[in-house]
This record gives sequence, structure tokens and C-alpha cells, in this order.
Amino acid sequence: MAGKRRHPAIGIDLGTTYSCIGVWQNDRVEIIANDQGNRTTPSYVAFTGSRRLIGDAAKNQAEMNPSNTIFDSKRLIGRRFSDASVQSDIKHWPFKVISGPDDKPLIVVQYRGVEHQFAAEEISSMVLVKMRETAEAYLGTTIRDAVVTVPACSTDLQRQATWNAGVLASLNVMRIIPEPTAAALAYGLDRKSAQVQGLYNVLVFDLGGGTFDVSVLDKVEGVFEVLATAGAAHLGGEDFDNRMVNHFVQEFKRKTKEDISGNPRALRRLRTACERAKRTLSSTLEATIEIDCLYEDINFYSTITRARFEELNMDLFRKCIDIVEDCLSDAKMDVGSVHDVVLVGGSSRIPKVQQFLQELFNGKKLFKSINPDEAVAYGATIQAAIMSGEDEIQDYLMNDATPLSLGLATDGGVMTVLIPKNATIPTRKEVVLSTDSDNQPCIRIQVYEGEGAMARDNNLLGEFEFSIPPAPKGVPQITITFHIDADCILDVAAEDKTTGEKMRKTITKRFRLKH
Amino acid sequence: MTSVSARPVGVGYCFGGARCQPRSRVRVSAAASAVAAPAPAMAATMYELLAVEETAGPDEIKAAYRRAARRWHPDACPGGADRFMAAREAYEVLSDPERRRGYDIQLRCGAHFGDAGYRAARRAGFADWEAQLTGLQWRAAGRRGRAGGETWGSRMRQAAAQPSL
Repeated sequence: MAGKRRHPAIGIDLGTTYSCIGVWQNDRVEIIANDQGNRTTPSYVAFTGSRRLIGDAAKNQAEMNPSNTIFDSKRLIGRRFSDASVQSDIKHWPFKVISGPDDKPLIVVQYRGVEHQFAAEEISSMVLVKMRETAEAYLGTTIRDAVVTVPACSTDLQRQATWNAGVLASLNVMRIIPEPTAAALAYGLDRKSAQVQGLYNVLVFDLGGGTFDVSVLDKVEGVFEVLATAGAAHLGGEDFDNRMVNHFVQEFKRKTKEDISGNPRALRRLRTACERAKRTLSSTLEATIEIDCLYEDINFYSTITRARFEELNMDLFRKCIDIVEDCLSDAKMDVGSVHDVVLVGGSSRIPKVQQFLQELFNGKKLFKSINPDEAVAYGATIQAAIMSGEDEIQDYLMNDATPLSLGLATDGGVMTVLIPKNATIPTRKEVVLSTDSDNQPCIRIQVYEGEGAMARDNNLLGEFEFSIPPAPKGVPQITITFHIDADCILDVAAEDKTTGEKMRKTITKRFRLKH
Repeated sequence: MTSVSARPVGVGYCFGGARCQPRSRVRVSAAASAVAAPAPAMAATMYELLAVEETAGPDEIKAAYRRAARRWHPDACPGGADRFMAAREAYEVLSDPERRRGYDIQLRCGAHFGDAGYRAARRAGFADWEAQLTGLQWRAAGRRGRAGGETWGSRMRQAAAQPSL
């Protein structure tokens, strides 16, 4: 076909704990298995005395090499070392994180006997390289174009860093899309044969290994639109594992009087066993933990029931439901208006989570046709196909939305929102500003991102100064225009209507590979 | 590890830009028509942008907007961003009852069509007076409430359709 690309485009779910990759082939999405035959790949990178390992190999040796096995790089990407969430995370990680230039967190490892420091996006790019090589091995051709996913409430910095990770991995990142949006696309295509006319409301419940996202979308005439998004950056399978680990650390202490909470190797082995037990508990009522020589020749054998696991995590499960209710409220929708609830992410398989969701939605059957581990990559691949002009997929379109409000710091440091959260993109908005003192020589344009009422509580994205001729305060009329394109790139322009003077600045920084 | 050379890219609109995606033949013609369309689009009403009647209900407007979105979204039509944003703006105004009422009033006062326009032109000298009268009628209608769910806009349109002395 005239519009087809020479190289296929792929969709990548770059997850906190696992990543997944799909390709549009034979007019449908194919999820690609890696060299171990697994359709998801751990988001792990390990450094040893002789080589670097990525994926299953990295995770499998984590117990023996805890301080040089890196995971959760997604939690660092686009963040500052001094962020409260980063400081909290560092306490739980066996690997070392230090503060680099501009408060950027850097991961310290021993690699081939030498200390190295890596930025989070460099680690994520290694995972992306693994995914790209997996696809290239499967397809037998070079891969360049990709759509990569991020959590729904990602900041501009986080999206930017994810984009940069793609560039470092030699990918042409066509688009960064939110995970629930990708999952909705997957849902929409899967339901194509049963496509209904008119309005269809979907709630995407995405509970993965690291983050929790909820989105409410509607679909009319084949076009999806995001109505509301909510979530928690720190709520997922790893948190449930932590509760189990803490539970067994206490049990071990009661039985043996030994405290293993300061032993990274023992904790790693215990965590691995807990993760396995958690999965078992989704299909059985009891699971066993058996670890030989957990600590100083002491074996550890125990069991945990599903009921106990649920008790340990009940507050976290309820928090998920509270966030769902908040999201419905933001979308001005009641539970009765939702036609389908789509489960995404491995942790959405937890029986108590599903029970709570069903109760909230008055017993409605939850949508489980697509493998929750693969739904995000499935949808990212669909988006890649749409952008590549694949004819079979042109019936569908995703109207994406801004994840956070965008505005300016104005009089006294107040955040004046020009583009609210969940505004459909592309979009353009204007506001007219003036001066607050006589003969002011310029206006400072400070662009912020976030939901706080005061600008200082939000993220500063960029700033510039716009010169104006002297005039009494309140007289100049400066029009500020925000434009966000389909790639979520923010362009800010200032214009003085009286003098015709103009200035513009691209706030969102993107890098692109040369072709 | 391998280093990748990269450089920042300034903002790029799709018009002739390197970032435009190649499209099949039919899509290219859509892009061409998008480029040709902006001028007439500027003069179109929001109803015309969405291709709906002025009496269309909320569901019809939503469906029309989505059809326009599918046609003009940059993912489907490189160069269609301005048309997409215009359709979005029209949808947001027309799907909010208060904003739609205000828009209808603005439409009625600011742009005359057909017979009403012709007669108004002949009475140009009374333009200011007529504008004030319209405003008074609007406020009076607001105070009385709207019996039978009929909006002021629809009553004005019916009145305009009838001959006046």
C-alpha cells in the first residue's frame, strides 16, 4: 500500500516492573516473546564483573548481586533527587542512588570492577534496547519507530525523560501515550466485532507493578476521548509485596530472634518468594514460602492464606476504590453510566480487588478478554499503526488529554491556568496580561505545570522575559498564547498588540534522531 | 555504552514539515483539502464547522464533533490541527447550554441572514436601538423563565421566520 512504511512500527509498554512489546502485523497486534519465551520482560538491568544483563537474566541473578541489580528506574525517571518520593524509595532499594548535577538522581554500580554512575533514563534506555532487539530478532528487520507509554499522571519532565530514553535506545519515538489510554485502544479494537452505535463509556482500571491509573473515556463514532484521569504513583504489586515481606520479617524474628531487615540478600530472596506466593494466591486460597538458608543456615518455611494477604493489604485495596470514585466524580459520571470496566496490569488479577470493583459497579462483569499484562503494549501498538497510516486501523482515533493543568505565575505568585487538566489535545488557549507597576520594562513569563493554586507548589517548566515600552501600570495588553500539539509539545507565545512585538518559546524539549 | 547523537528540534507544524507522516493516496487528498479549507472555515459558524443544524441536540453534536475529529486530528490528517481545534472549540461551546445560548444570541445579533438581514439593512439607522431592544428582550426572557423548555434563541428564530410589519 502506498502509505505503508518500509519498517514496521512497534508499541512498547515500559513498565515499572515489567515491559512488553507489540508489533502491527497481518492487520493485527502481535505481542512478541523474548529470548526466554516470555511475553513480558522484567525491567531489570544488572552489572557484573564481566558483563551487563537485561531482563530475565538480570532478575534471575538479583539475589546474588543485589547492589548492582537495578530495577524501578521508572520511579526515578524525570524526578529530582530531593523529591520526597525519591527519598522514600531510596530507603527500600539495595542499589545506591546519589545526587548528581541539577539535583538529578544518579544510580551507582560496580561494572567490570569500576564504579559507574547512570541516569535513570540511561537504565530505561537499556530496557528499551532489549525490547527493540527482541522485536528485531522476531521480525528479522531493523526497528526504528515506536510508541512508548507512561503513567497517566506523568509530568512533562517524566515524559521528556522517557522520550530521551527512547532516543538513547536508537528509537524514533513517534508518540508518548498514557497507559490507560493505550489500554482503552486495546479494548476498543478487541470489541470491534461487537461495536455498538452511539455513546460508550469505559473505565480503565490499571493496577500494575508500580503505579495505579484510572481513566474514564468515552467512544463515539470510533473516537475515544479521555474525560478524566486519576491515580497514585506509588500503588501496585510491589507495595503488596512489601506488606508480605514485612509480615514475614516479623514472623522470622518471632521464630528465630534474628532480624533480617538489614540484609539485602535475604530480603531479595524473601521478596522473590513473596511475589511468587502473591501470584499463587490469585488462584488458590493458601500459598507456601520455602527458603533454604535464608539467614545464617536458618531455613524458613511458612504459609500464608489469601485472607491474611487481603488483610495485610486491605487499606491499599480500599485506596484503589477511592481513587476510582474520585475519577468518576471528575468525569461527572455515575457508576451506572459506565458500560465496561477494563482491567489492566498484573495486580488487577487480585481477587479482592476485583470483588471491590464489582461491588462498586453493582455486580457488573469486568472486562478481562485481553491479557492485563499485555493490554498497554497492545494499545501502544495500535497507536503506532494509526500513526503509520495502516489502512485497517483508520476507523479508530484517540483524542488524548493533558495530564496536568498548565498555566502562568501571575499577580502575587498565583497559578493562572490556561489549559486545564484533561483538556483534549491539540489545543490552543490565550490570556491577556498587563503590568503591576508603572513603566515596567518587561513581563516575566513563567510556565508552570500542576494542580496547586500557588505557582510555587507546581513544576516550573520554563520561563522567558518579554520587553515592553514604558507605560502606566495596567495599560499594556500582552496576549499570551499556549499551544499544545498532538505530540504534547507546548509552545508559548507573547504578543503586544499595540506594538506588534512578538516572542515565542518552545517549552517542551524533545530530541530526535537524525535520519 | 553507545552514545547517540541527537539535537533539539524546534516546534514543527506539519505543513510541509519533515515530521509529517506518509499517508496513503486518499489521506493525502484529505491533507490537500485541509490546506485549502482554512479560509472558508474562518467565516463558518460553529454549526457549519460541525455540519449540524442549529436545532441539533447534544448527542448529535457530540457525534458530529467526533466525526470531525476523526477527519481532522493530526494523527489522521497531517496539517489538520487547526481544523481539529476549531471543531473542538465549537463542540465545547455548543455542548454547554449556557454558552450555546450566548453563542446563538451573538449569532443572531451579529450576523444577519436572508430576509431578516435584508430588512435590517434597510433600517440601518435603527441598529443601536434594535441591539438595545434585543438585550432587553433577552433579560426579560431570562426573568420570566422559559415555558415549555423553549429557549430564547429558538423563539427569536421563529419570530425571524415570520413576516413583520
